[in-house]
Amino acid sequence: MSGENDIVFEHVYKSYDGKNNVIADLNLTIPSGQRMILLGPSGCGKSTILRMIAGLEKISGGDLYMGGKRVNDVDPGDRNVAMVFQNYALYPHMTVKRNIQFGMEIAKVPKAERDKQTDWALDILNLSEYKNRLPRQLSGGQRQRVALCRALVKKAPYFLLDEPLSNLDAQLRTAARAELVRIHEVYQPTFIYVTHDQIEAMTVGQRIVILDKSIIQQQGTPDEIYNQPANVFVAKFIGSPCMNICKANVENGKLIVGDEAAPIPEAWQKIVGDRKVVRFGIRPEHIEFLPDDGDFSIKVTYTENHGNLLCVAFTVGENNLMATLDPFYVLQDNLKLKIKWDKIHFFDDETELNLGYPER
Amino acid sequence: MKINARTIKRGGGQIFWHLIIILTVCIFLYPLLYMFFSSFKELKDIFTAGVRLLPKKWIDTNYSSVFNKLDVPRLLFNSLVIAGLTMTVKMLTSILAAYGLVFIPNRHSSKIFYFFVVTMFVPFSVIMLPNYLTLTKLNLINTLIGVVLPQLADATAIFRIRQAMRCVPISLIEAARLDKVPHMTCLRKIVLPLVRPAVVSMAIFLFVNSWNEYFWPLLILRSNELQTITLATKYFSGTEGSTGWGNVMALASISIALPLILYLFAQRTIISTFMSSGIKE
Amino acid sequence: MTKEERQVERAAMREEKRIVRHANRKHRNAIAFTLFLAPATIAFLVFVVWPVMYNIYLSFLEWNMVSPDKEFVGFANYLKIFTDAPFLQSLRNSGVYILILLISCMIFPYFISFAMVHLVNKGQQVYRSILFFPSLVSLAVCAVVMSFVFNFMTGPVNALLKSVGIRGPNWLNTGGYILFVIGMVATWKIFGYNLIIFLAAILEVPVELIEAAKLEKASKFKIFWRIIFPLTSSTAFYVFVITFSHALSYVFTPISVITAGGPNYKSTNVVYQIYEYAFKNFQSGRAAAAAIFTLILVMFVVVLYQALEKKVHYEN
Repeated sequence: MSGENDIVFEHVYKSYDGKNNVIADLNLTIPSGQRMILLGPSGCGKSTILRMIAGLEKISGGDLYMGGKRVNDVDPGDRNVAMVFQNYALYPHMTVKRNIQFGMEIAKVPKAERDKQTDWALDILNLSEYKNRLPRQLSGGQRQRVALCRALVKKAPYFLLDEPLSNLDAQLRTAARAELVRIHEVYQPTFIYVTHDQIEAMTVGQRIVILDKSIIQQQGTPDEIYNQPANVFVAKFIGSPCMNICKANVENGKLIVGDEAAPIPEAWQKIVGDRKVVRFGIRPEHIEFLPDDGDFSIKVTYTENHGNLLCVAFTVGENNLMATLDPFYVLQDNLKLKIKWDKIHFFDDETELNLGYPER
Repeated sequence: MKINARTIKRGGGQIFWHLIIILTVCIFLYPLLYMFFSSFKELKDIFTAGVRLLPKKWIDTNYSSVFNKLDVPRLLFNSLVIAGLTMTVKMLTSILAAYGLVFIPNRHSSKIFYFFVVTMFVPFSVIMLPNYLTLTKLNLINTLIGVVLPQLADATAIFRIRQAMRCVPISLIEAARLDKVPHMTCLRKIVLPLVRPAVVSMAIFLFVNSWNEYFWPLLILRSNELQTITLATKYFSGTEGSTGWGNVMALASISIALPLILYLFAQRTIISTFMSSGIKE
Repeated sequence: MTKEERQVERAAMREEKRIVRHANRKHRNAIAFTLFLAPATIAFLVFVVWPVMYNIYLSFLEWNMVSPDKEFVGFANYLKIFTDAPFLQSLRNSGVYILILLISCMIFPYFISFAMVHLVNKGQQVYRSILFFPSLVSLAVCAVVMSFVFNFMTGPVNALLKSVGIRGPNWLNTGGYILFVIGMVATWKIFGYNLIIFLAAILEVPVELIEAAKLEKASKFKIFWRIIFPLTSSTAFYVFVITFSHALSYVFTPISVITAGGPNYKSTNVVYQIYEYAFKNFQSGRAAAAAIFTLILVMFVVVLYQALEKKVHYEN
């Protein structure tokens, strides 16, 4: 859903010391109006990319375009960007109201208009009664909402969020996620949201970019990322517990783990090709156990009942796997893993790339 | 930082160390107390009191004598003007410089900061004569401004205020950048309120230091109407000779009144500003 | 020009202005930086840098500060001051002052601050508040008061000594004793400030280290010597440097107030001599030469400090 306000990175490099690149040859298009997530482990460069969009980090090479204009040298204040910082960056000596209004104060917006906008934002985030409090009198969740208000009143086309929920309790996060989507609905700016939490990414995002060590691993909708991971990294990063990746030999059209073999359906054989060694992945929720009738025998190492699920850790040959089952499932002896061929994913053993899927 | 190693101190040994410290405190307090109480003693009493502090008979004639012999209000006024001006100018230049060093990105920031630090080590003896000559050329001898100017070459305030400013979270400044806040506004509305303790304590410290300044007033102020009270105390002790000890002590007591009041008012912030870590960073 | 052409031209001009403003924005920070740092930098250039350079220049001249002729005399001034008895005396005295102050303003506060933090349980706030106050009192006033306190006949010090049977000396008029008095005045002023610095450094030493040592029954002296001292040594160096510097300059005021260098130059120090050369004898050349001498001395100590600090840094 591309528009005039797209953000485009073209061959962007960033280096702090002139020698080592922290970001190398980044090519990325962020379509306008959507909630785009930059997801990845710590140190993968996602915050750097966000800050480059904001103008808080200099770009060492390449071009960054926002809304068609090259903005490499444009001041952060001129980029029309609203940002929510990880630690909220609220001015401790100013009331909530003043914190929210401060940008407008600088822009010399008349008081009446400022108050109107502030009240509007406070109302959306249910903070009206805290208007005259100081940040230190608020809880973490409230401070975060004040930071959102402050970003909201700017009504900027670009709304940047740097791990906005990471300082909140787990319980608050669920409500906060819904709130973020709600805020996006208000005027549909481009959300660029950095997080390391894949649940946040999957629930809040409309498009996700997964990064590892500053390299884009995959871009796509949550559905695509979850069901068609581009490589082993993405497969293991998304999903909790993560996808089980196992190594297996291939011989005579059979998948071999240890001494046991399972015949590979023809549709998959074309995908696997001539490979002798391959990796396959199955998500914990797609694991099926059958007594005596499965493909590979398993040895259960431990189980955890989470109340809503039963997590079973087990081994198949030398591979460690995790399955999530119905909480009332009764584990019997002699269970075997049944491969569900419509839920399996294959990856090349060397390149770790997804080999693809048969035509459905 | 109220680290209290309670666990390592036990019972009796403590009294001993307390006494040592109290002894030190008494030694340091004694001259002040001597000065204060002597200002209320008759001359004979001062001469014969020995170590005794309290007056046999409290008199106030020393003070009235001082007020008769010297234009005390004038002296206080001069000190106030000089100290006030010095403090104001130094605070302005220091706050601006500290802000620039911390929040305005520039390749030369460290070099300039080290330059400032180095100036603190230049011995006074080297600066003394040339500055005097400069002031002569500018016709500022025997003026109050002439006393103010040489005192500007002091980087202590820059050092401390910069230290305090570095504690402001960088994300606040980044948020301000995104709102296109110009530097002066950022300084006034965001940074200064957050470093108020350091600024206030440095202001008081600079004021008191200037109030106590002896050398430049000695060198530059010639006429009686322009004396500072600190300088006057020295001259007065000469003119009063051995018959006016009480008077001299009275004048001395008056001269420390204002620093004392300011100190009582702000000593916690002053001390903590000087104790904050990274003294010689 | 048609309406469209005019519009295009106006748009092009606006774009050009924006590009120019664009380039200026890069320099905006540079301009702001210059403006913010200019006042302080100018003050230092005028009142510190220029004086140093001019002082060097003056040290090679013979000039009485008034007449228009300045005579170039090369290193003559330097030679003269080192053969001038008062100056040599002042050097000797300066050495004594440095020694006195190092003991009273470096070792003593080091010890007291250690006591305040680790040898007693409470009172630190009160003690340090009281001990810091003298640093805010005028050195000149203190000198005046001390000259009374140490008065030979009527001062409390000799009265105290008399009460234990010792006949107190004529503090203000006898060679060695006057050095002690002046040293005490300077100590009175510097002690509190140094104390605070030491306190800050000692408080930064993690309590766990001390507690661990106590568990091993280490004596208080060992705790100081093995834990506190190494971890605060860089602060100690710093205090050494500034105390050295103060020993040269702070004693000026009490000398000026109490003794004017006497008796017979027994109490003068280098800085006071420079003052005398310049403002009593009008011998600017000698004053400048002596000043440069002190500059070299201090620079030497500072360089030593930097080198030692780097060494300590690497070891840490």
